[in-house]
Formats: sequence, C-alpha cells, structure tokens
Amino acid sequence: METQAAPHRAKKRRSSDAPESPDQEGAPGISSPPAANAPDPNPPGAGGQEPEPGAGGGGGGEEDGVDYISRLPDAVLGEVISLLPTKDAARTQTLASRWRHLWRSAPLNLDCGEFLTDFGVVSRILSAHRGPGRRFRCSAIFLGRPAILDAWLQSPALDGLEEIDFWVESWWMSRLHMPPLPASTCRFASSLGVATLSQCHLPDDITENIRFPQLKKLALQHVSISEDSLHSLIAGCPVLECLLLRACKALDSVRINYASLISIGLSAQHHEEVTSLDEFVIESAPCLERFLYLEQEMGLQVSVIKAPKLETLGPLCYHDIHPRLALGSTIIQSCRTRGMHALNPTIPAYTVKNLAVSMITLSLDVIIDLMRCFPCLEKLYIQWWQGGDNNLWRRKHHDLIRCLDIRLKTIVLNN
Amino acid sequence: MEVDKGKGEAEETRKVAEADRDTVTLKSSDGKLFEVSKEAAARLSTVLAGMIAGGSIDDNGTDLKQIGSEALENVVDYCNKHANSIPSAALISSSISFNTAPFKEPEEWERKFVDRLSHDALFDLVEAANFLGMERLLDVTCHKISEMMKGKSPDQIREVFNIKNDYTKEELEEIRQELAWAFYDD
Repeated sequence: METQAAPHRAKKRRSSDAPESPDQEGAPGISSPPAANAPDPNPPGAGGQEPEPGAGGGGGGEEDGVDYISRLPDAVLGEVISLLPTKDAARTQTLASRWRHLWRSAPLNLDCGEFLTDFGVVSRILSAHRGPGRRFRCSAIFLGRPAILDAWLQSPALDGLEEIDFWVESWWMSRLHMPPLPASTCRFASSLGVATLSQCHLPDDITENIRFPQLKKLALQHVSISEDSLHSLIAGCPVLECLLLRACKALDSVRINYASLISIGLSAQHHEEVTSLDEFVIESAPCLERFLYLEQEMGLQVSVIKAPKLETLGPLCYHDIHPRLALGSTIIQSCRTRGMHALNPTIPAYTVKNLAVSMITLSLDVIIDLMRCFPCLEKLYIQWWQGGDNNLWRRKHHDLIRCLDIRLKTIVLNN
Repeated sequence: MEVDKGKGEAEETRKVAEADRDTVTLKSSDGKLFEVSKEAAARLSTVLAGMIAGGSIDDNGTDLKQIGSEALENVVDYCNKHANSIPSAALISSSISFNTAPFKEPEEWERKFVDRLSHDALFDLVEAANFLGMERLLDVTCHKISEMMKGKSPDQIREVFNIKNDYTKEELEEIRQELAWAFYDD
C-alpha cells in the first residue's frame, strides 16, 4: 500500500492562493504518521476482521488498528474538517500533532449560530483562521448591526467565500424593519455558489450592477426587492439552478424566463404588513424540473406556460381561498364548496410525474380529476386533515380505467 | 455498460471495448483490468479526462500504479453508477432541504455506495478519488468521513480512527486553553 500523498490537489475549485503546503504544514508531528502495518495496539481478533455490513467503518477503527485517516493529504483532511460544525472542526487540532495546523488552513466553515451567547468568539475565529472561506452562516439579526457584521465580512479569513446564509428564526421578524444588505457582501460575488438572504432590503444599486458567475442556489426569504431588481439580480446569475422566493416584500408579480433554472420554490405567505404575491408566471424555463410551493398561498395565480421538463409539482393546496394554477391550457382551480376541480382537463400536463396535494377533506373525486389532468403521474403524495363521507367509487369514474394508461406506482398518504 | 469485476472476464471485455471505443480500460497496481464508460470517466475525473484528451490511454489497460484493484473497482463502479443514475426527483417531503442543505449533499445512492464500504476500503477510495481528480467522489467520501466524526469528542474520534495521541499532557492543555471556545456548549 502506498502511503505517499497523492500528487493532486483535493479540489480544483479552491482559490489558487489557498495556503497549501503538505510538506511544511504540520512538519513537527509528521515523524509519526502511521506507517502502514504499525504494531496493532489491539490484539487481533478483538474487534473482528470482518467489517460490519453497512457500518462503513463507522462502528470503530478497531478493524485492523491502522490509522488510515492521518495519512490522507492535508488538502483532503481540510475538506473533511470544513464539512464539520465549527466547534467540531476546531477541536480536531487536539487529536494529534498531525492535525495541529490543519484547521487553520482548511476552508473555514463558520456557523455563528454555535456562538449565540458570546459572538465575540466569531471575531476571534476570523482573526485566527487563514481562510479561504467556505461557508458563513449568521442570524439575519446581525444585519441590523452593520458595524459588527461588516467587520466580520471584511475579514481575510472569508476570502473566496462559497456559501453565505443569513437565516431567520421565525417570521415574527417580519414586523421589524429591513436593513439593506451590507455592501461588503458583494466582495464575494465572484466566488459564491449558494446564497440565502433573509430579512433585508436589496437596493437597486446593488442588484443592477452585480454578477454572480458561480451562483447555483439563491434563496430570498422575506427580502424587500422590486420586480425589476429581482430580474436584474437573476439575470446576473448565468448558472443559477435553484431559486427560492419566500414571502418577499414589494413583489406583486414575477415572470420567470430563465434558461438555467432546474428548481423553483415559492411561498407567498401572507402577512399583514407584506403585500402578497399576486401572480407568478413561468414563461419559459426549458430546464425546470421541480416547482414546489413551500407554504400555502393566499389568492396566488400561478401560470406555467413553457416548462417542457417539469416533473415534480406541488403541493397543490385545496384549502386556499382562490388559488389557481394554469399549466399550459390546463387550469386547476379550487373553490370552497366543491373542492378542487380542473377546468379544461382535456389538454393535460403530460410531463408531471410527481405530484403532491394537500386538502382539508379527503376527496376521491378530486384525486381522480387530478389523475385525469396528470396522466403520466408516477408518484402521488396526498395530505389531508379529515376524512370525507362520500369517498365512493362512482359510475362516472369507470372510464378512468378504460381510457387512461395509468402509470401511477406510488401513493403516499399523510393524515 | 457492464462493469468488469476484474475476475477473469477482463480480457474478453477488453476486446469488446476496443471494438466500440465507448470505454477505456484501466489497470490497477496489481494488474487487474477494469472497463469504464469513457464519457463518465472524462466527466468525473480531471486526470482521466486529461489522459483521454491527450491520447495517453492505453488500449491494453492504462496503468494506474497508485490504485489497488479493490479501490479501482469501486471507482469504476461509481463512474458507471453515476453514468446511469437519474438525478433524484426531489421528493416533495424533502423539499424543505431546498435552502437548508449546507453543501452539495450526496445523493441517496451515493450515501449507500459509501456506507457499504469497510473502513480501509473507504480510505483507499478517498485516496484514489484524490489521485484521479474526482471532485464529486471526493466530496461524497469526505462527507462520509465527516459524518463519522461529527458530534464526537476527540477521544471518541481517536478511537474510531485509531489516531494515536502524540501530544504531551502540557501541550494538550495549552491547545485546549487556546480553543476553550470550542469545548463549551453554547
């Protein structure tokens, strides 16, 4: 078995100036990297030579007593460390001298949520670490303390940051004002792959001139942004695959016309102070596979005009007041008295394979109507809150079996 | 695309491969031959992509002296599974992970793929993935290792991975003081 570190870098995506010198780093301790076949401290047979199936070695390293992990190249161990929670990652320094210098130069994964009572620790970590930044996660509350946040974001330890996440604990915050997104966030525009922005205002001057060439996932939660700004923002993300819009303020109508999107999540949650989204139109999304409503909407009109790869849709909520979904010329609409029904079901949405439905009262009639609209369904998820009295097989459904080639394989029920 | 398990049919598979040229033949350090989809190899491994583009692929089996047959079999298996896998149709129930998944999370089949590996096979695969410049496979294997470390004390981690603590008591105490913030629960 070769113990020599492989010559290739662990990641090509790391910024080129990332410190990485396997031979210098940790040199003092390297005298003891576990030579293969080092004497086994455990008597053979004690732990059993046979790995437990499925245990993936997680059950203990006593298989053969060899320290495999410490002989991995620094860059690979750095990747492992950067996947750990912040405290776990830092504690790896205490494992053995081989690990002493790894955390400091591994990509930094800093979750400020681990330091709620003493966020001074965040500043200490940022000054102790050499970067680059992998992930910075922080409560959106700090957007209201721009001096502190700005000092953190300016830290060289976050250079080349790939993921930023301003999270919100609960929606009560919607009552607070929305501070602007700090301009220092923009210094990561060229490296960000994932961005979650919450509880802030995205001013036009930020969105109009910025490009995120690497951004694949963008979530805007309770963000105040104008329709024009949203469009210039997304237009500046040429490889954006996933877009989440959750209860955004100042957006009445959104029209989606983006070639790269694979997944869209939407919630137009209604708040007293927030105008809810009235209209959401997917004009053209040639790669779109998933369109998910993450929370119930009130009165939202959704149209899908051109999404030839749309496979996953839902949940359609039958307890909304006036929801309306148009898929091409198929229009699905609910009304309070009759439950959900499909208008013009003759031209069905052929591409949808996975559908979720949420209804207060389980209604077989509605489910069967939907199966007519989506004849290629393979998985159907149904959530309901109370059983209906009239869920009987009716004569009018007989043609369903005769007319349709039913491909449905799985139904998941959740009551 | 069938996976050659390197158990005798290698020669036969190689002849087929030479004919259609959709595959490349890789040779492990112990001389076993494996077939892999050329497209998948080029897409998943920067090193193999470079070799294919540069014409340095040997039809009789490209030597990969640093990789043993068990690890190479796993690499080839991964490439072929990847070539055949349909991107998971995200279940509605897991849609909430839409914005909470911190990093490129492994797909379900990738988790299962690494979960079945023994301890040493996992580490051999990490080294092979690193050597071949397979970013995605490296992500998946590193993710598995980090799962084995998460939430454990240093003592527990040393036990899982057979790491020998070579610090003196004083050194350890010094580091612990420096990292006091990492040892208390917030």
